Amino acid sequence: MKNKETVISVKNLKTFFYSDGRCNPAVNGVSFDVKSGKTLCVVGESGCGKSVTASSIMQLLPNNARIEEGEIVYKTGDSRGDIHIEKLDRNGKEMRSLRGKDIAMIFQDPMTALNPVYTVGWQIEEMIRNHENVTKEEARKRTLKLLADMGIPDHEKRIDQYPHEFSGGMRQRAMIAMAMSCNPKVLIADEPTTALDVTIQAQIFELMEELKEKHNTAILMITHDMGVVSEMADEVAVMYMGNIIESGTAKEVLGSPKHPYTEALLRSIPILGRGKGQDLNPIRGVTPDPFDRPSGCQFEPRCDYATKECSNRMPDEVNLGKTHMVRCIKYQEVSKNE
Amino acid sequence: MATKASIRRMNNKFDKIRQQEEAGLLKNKKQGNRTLRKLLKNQLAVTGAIIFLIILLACIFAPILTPYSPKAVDMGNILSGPTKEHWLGTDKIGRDVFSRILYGGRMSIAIGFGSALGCALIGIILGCYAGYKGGIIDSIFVRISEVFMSIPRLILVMMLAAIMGQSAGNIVLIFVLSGWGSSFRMVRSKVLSIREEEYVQSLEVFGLSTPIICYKHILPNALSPTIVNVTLSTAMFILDEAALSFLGLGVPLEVPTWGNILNAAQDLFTLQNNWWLWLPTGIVVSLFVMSINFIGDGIRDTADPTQI
Amino acid sequence: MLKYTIKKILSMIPMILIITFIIYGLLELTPGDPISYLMDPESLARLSDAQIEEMREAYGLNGPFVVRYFNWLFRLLQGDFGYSISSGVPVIDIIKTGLPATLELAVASLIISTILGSILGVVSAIYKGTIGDNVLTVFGMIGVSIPQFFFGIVAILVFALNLEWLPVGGRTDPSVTGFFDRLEYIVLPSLVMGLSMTAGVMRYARSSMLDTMNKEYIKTARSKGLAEWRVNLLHGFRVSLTPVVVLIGFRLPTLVAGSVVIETVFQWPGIGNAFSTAVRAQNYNLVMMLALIFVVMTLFASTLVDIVTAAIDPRVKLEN
Repeated sequence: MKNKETVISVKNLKTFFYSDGRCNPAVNGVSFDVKSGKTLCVVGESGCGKSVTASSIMQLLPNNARIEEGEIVYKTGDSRGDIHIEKLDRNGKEMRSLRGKDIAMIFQDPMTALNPVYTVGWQIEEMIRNHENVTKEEARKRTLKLLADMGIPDHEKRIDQYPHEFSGGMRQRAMIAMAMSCNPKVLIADEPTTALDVTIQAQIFELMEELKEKHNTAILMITHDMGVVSEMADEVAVMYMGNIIESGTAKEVLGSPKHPYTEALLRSIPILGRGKGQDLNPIRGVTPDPFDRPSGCQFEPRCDYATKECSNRMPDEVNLGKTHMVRCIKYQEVSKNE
Repeated sequence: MATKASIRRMNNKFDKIRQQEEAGLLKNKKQGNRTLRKLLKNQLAVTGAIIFLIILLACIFAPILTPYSPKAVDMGNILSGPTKEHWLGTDKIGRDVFSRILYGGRMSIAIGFGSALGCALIGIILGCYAGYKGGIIDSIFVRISEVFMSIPRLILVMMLAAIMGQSAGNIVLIFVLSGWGSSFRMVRSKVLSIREEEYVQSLEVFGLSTPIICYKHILPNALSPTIVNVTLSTAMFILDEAALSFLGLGVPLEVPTWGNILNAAQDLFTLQNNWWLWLPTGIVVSLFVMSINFIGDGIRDTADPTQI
Repeated sequence: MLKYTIKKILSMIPMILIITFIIYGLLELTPGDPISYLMDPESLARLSDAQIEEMREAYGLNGPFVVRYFNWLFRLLQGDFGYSISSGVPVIDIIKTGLPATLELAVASLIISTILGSILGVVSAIYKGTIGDNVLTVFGMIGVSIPQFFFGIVAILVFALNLEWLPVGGRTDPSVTGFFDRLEYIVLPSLVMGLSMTAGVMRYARSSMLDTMNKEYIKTARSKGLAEWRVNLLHGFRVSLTPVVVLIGFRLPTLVAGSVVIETVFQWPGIGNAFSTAVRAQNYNLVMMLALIFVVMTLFASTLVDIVTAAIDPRVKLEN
C-alpha cells in the first residue's frame, strides 16, 4: 500500500494578469490538493485559468502576471519541510532547485517545447546534470535508460537525433523522459496530448499511468477534454472563469455532477455508438469578457437554473460529503435531474 | 530577466491598476480606437511625428520663413558665420545657408518620396499581377528582381549614374530601377497568401476578369504594408541621395539638396573652420530620417499585441 | 552537408553568367571605342589605323554581340580585365592593390559590428523594458538614421583635426612599416564603419532574441530549473545566433556601400575609393570591372553565409 498523502496544497490562489492598463483576475481564488500516486485533472474551456494555475505552481508566469494572494505549499517530506512556493523568488535559486527536480512539467506541443538546435539526448542530460552531480557518461547512460523506459525504439540512435527528426508522439515521450529524469514527486502535464493523434494519445496516457504506479508520482493534468478526464482522473476539479466551481473524485463529479456548468459540459459531449440522432446540448451563450465579468456567479448569464440571487455574489463552497465540493446555490435542483 | 528596480516598478504599476479595477473605475473605460491610442502612447513615435511635421512644413513654407533665395549670390558677404540677417551664415559665394537647407529639403524630400512612390507603384503593379497569375510571368519577374537585388544597391546606383549622367530626374529613375525589387517581392508574397482565400475563388467563379480581381479586389488588402514601406524607403532614399551628392555623383551641384550642401564638407579646411556650412544640414538630415524611422517603428509596435 | 555545399556553389554559376552578361551589355552601351580600354594605351598610341583595325579583329570586336561577350568573358577568366583609360594601368593591377585594403577594412568593421551589435542586442532583449533597453533602442535608432559619411566627417573633425589623436586618412605612411604604426590608420575608418553598422545588427539581434525568448522551449528550459544565464545564453542566444549569422548576409550590400563611402571619406586606397573616383571620371571600363568584382564578392559571401547557416542550424540541413 503506497501512501496517498498530499504533496502540493494550493489555497485560495489568485493570479492576475495586467495588460493594456487593465487587470484580469485569471485565477481568482482556487484551492486544491495534489496527492502522490493520484491524478488530479483540472478541466475547463480555454481561458478559464487552468494553465495559469499550472504556471503559478511552477512560477513560470509571464512578466505581466503575478501571484496576488493565497498559498502554494509544497510538502517535501524531507528535511526541507514545507516550502511556500508563492514566497520564493521567481527565478531564484530555491525555486530553480524545485523545478525539474521536485516538480516537473510537460507541455502541450512537443513540437515547440523542445529546443530545435540541440539533440534530444543533450536536452535530457542537461536536466540531469543540472540537478545532480553526475559525470557526462553517467548522465548519458541514464538518458539512454530513460528513453528505453519510455518505449522509444532504437534509442541508441535516437539519443543523438534532433527533435525535428522525431515524430509527434516520440517527441512527447522524450519530453516525458526529460520530465521524469530526476524522479520528480509531482508531474504537471499541460494538455499533453492535445497536439497528438488519438491513437498516440492513448499510448501516452498508458505511459503516464504506468509511471504514476511505478514511482508513486502525483500528476496534475490540465485539459479541456472530458474524454481525457474520464480516462485518466482520480480526482477532478472543474474550472470556470478563474474559479473551481466543482471538485471531487472522478466518480462523484462525472457520475453525479452538482454544478450546472459541469452538468452542461457532460451533456454536450457526443457519446460514441449512439449515432447521429443523439441529443447534444451545447451550452448557450459565450464565455463573458474577462474585463467585464458578471457580478455574482460567473456562470449565471448562461445558466438554466439562474435566479436573481445568483447575480448577487459568488456562491460559497458547499461541501457534500468528504471530497465533493460545489460552488452553486442551486446544486440541489441540479442533482434532482439525475 | 528583470532587475530588482524594474520588478519594483512593475509591482507599483500593477498595484495601481488593481486598485482602480477593484473600485470599478476601469469597467466603463472608453475603448476608442485601440491602435491609435497605443500609437499616441508611444512617446518615440509621437516625438518622431512632431519632428517630421516641423521639418516638412518648414521646407514647404520656405518662401515665408526666409527672404533669401537659395541661389542668390552675395559676393560681398561670403563665409559669414551665423548673424541676425543670416541665421546659419553664408557659404563660399555668399548664399544663405538656412534658405539652402529649407529649399534643399524640398528637393531631397521630393527625390526620396518620389523614388519611394515609384518603387511602390512598380512593385504593386507587377507584384499584384505576378503573384496572382503565377506561372511563367511570375517566375520571369522573380528572376529579374533577383538579379537586381543581388547587385549591392549603391554599386548599381553609381554604375547607372555614371552611364546616365547627373540630373534630379535621372537620380529618381536610378533609385526606382535599383529599389523596385524589394517592394515587388513584398507585394507578391502578400498577394500569394491572399490568392488562396475563398473570396478570391468565388470571384473567379463569377467570371470576373483578371485585372479586376487583381487590382480591385486583392490589391486593397495588400496595401497597408506597402504604405509603411513607402515611408521607410523615403528615409532610405534621402540617405542615399545625401551620400551620392556628397561623393559628387548626385544631383548637379548648383541645385540645392541636403547632399549637395554637405558636399562642402569634403574640404578639410571647411570642415574645421566653417561648421555652419555642414553641421546644421547634417543634423537636419539625421533628424528627418530618424523621425521617419520612429514613426515606422511605432506603427510596427502598435500591431504587436504582446505589448502592455 | 558536402552535397548541400556543392549544390549551393553550383547554383551561383547561372547568376554570375547573367550578371556578367548585363555588365558587358552596359559596357557596350557606354560611349568610346572598346579597343581603347582593351589594350594597353601606350602601345595603342603607337599603332596605325590599319593596325588598330587588325587588333579589333584579333579581339573579336567585329563579330556579333554574343561572340563579343564570350570573347570578353574568356579574357576575364584569364585575368585580363582591360585597362583604366585615365591612368593606363591594367585593371587587374588596380584590383590586386586595392582589394586587400578593402577586405581589411570590411572584415574589421564586420567583426566590430557583429560582436558589439549582437551583445548589445541580446542584453537589450534580456533587460526588455528597462531604462537601459530604452536608451539602447534610441541609440540604435539614431545609429541607423545618421548618414555614414556625416558620421565619418564628424569623426575626422573630432579625432583627427581637433584632438589630433589619429591620422586624417590614408592607409599607410611609406616611412612606417610597424604593425602598430599601421594600426592607427585603420582605427578611425573601421570604427566609423563598424559602429554605423552596429545599430542595425543590434536592432535585429534584439528582435530575434525577443522572438526566441517567447518560444515554448524557453519555458521548458525554465521548467528544468536551469539558471537564467543558461536559459538566456544556451537556449535563447544559441537559437537566435542563426538569424544573426544570416544578418551578415543581409549586411553585405551595406558593407559594400560602406566601403565605397567610407573609403572615399578617409581616402582609404581600396577598390571602393577607386570605384567612386572612376565613376566621377566616367572611366567606364574600370567602373564596370570594379562593379563586377563587388557583385561577385557579394555573391560568394552570401553563398558562404548560407553554408555556415546550414552548419549551425540542424533544421536547414535536413530540409535540403
